[in-house]
Amino acid sequence: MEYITSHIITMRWQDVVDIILVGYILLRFYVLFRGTAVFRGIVGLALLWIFQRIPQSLGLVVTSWAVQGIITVAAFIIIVVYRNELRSVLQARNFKNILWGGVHRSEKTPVEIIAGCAFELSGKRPGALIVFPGTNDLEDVVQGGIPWEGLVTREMIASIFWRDNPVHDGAAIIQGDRITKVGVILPLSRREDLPSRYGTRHRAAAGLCEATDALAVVVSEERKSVVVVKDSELHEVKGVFELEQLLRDHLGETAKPIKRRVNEKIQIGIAALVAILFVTGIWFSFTKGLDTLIALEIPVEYMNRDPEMEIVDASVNNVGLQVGGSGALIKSIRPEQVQVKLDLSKAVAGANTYTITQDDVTLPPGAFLKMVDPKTVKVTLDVLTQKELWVQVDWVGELPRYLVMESVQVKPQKVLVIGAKQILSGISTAYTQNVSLENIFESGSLTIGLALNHPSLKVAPDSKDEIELSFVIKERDGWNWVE
Amino acid sequence: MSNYRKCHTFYWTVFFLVFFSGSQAVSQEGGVLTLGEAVMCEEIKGRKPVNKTIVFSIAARRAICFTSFSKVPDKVIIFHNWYKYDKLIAKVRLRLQPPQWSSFSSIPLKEKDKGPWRVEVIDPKGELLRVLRFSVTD
Repeated sequence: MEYITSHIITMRWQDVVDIILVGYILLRFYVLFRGTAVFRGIVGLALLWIFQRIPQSLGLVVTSWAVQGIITVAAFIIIVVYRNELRSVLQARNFKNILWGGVHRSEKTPVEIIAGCAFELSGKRPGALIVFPGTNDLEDVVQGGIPWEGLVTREMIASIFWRDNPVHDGAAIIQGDRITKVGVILPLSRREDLPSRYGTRHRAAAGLCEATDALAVVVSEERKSVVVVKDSELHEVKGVFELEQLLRDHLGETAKPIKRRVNEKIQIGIAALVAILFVTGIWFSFTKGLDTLIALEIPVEYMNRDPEMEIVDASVNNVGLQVGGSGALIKSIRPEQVQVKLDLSKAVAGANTYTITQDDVTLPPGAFLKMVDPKTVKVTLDVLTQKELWVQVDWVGELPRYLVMESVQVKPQKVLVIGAKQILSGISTAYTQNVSLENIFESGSLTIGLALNHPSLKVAPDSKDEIELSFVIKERDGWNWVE
Repeated sequence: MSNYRKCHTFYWTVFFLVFFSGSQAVSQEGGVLTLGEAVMCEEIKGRKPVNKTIVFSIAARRAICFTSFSKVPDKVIIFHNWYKYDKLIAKVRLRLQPPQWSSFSSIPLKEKDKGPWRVEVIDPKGELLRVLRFSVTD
């Protein structure tokens, strides 16, 4: 949960735009292709892609590679197999509709006119065969046909199936409120269980409906009947009302228009939500993959110690941190943004052991702590005290061989030092900073500061920390200048 | 510490006149032990310190702590404790015999010995008689 929160906090505006854009593209795919085989193909591709991520995350290189290849091939197959559906979807809509098309798919089909007309035609020669496509493309199944694009009216239907009309033998295809094609040749069913009373027109309707999800209305002039064919079923309709109902069921117009529109909006809303969640999930999987770790060496700050006490010893001065986060964040981390602070308010004189937790580590927003080394810190505190220490000069370098430093006087001889009791108990001398012998050739004097050998020690305010030295240089006894 | 004592420290005691009376301590028999001279030097010649110094180059090879007492009423044991910084490096036991004695101890100088040193002269009762401070340098 913390990981997800840290990722959400670090989301840039570009990431939000990224998710919204891709989510919208997915939503448009849904709006344009829902109910079609293409959409099922796209869903299949998405599932394949998810499946491909699993072996990839498990390090199964070959499997991941193979699934990736399958995805590529499947995408080509979908484009080739469903090219007609793709074309019809894209041709049916202009560019604006593709980007921002409404959810209404087509004009309402005048079901009452069609149903009434069907029963008027029954008993009259030569009957009629009307096809209402579903989501499947009919182009690969049917043959011939003449584009018509006429509005559905009682007169139009009657004229198409008038016996002197050259196209009356074929089927008429109705999409929305238009008759899109007439004189269409349908594939005949090869079923042997069809009753003998059904003629070629029935067999053609059955053949089409077996191959697609279309609905066909067969008007028989001989038996004066109206038969609705859907899938593999042939159903004789008793009246106009029943036919209207069957047509509305097929066209998805059963519900009232307002309710249907509301339902569609709910569906689109859910689809939009799913698209956003899906893309967000992909974004997380990507950003997780892009997580970077950085190793930092950070000094430990000891806070809130009792002012009467001094830190005598600490097992560590620095701790190693492994900090994780997105690559961009990790690159921008500056060491001063990372702090390790240990609260010593409850520390007692002597040894105290602390475990460094997440609460002790301050990180920039979005970064998370992966590891601390060492996890425990031992801090020894002691009471502050004062002690007088003798001052000694710390000479370095080398005098010329013919000289010796016979003596040195220091002033003051002692200094008062404040520090932890335990530290001061083992110290009797305060040393000066290094005094170089390199340029000393004769007796003289100089002033030098102290170099207390523990960071917790300091010279008392009323004691001098500048030491005056007076030294005596003499020529070495028995020095042989000839040498 | 023991290496210094075993390998490189030896002590040698001689009688000679007392020039100066400084610190005093009571000997084992009840007499007063008085520290006359205490110096760091590079050599002992004719029972006297030569080239008194407070800076020893490691080229000098050894540092000597010379002490002489003006009053040595009885046989006594004194100590020369050698410290580098505040760490005891060598504790040298020296025997004195009446009437007048001087004694010395020394340490060899090596590269790792560079730094500030001190020698504490301790009487038989453990009292500090004097502190001599010096440095070992290049």
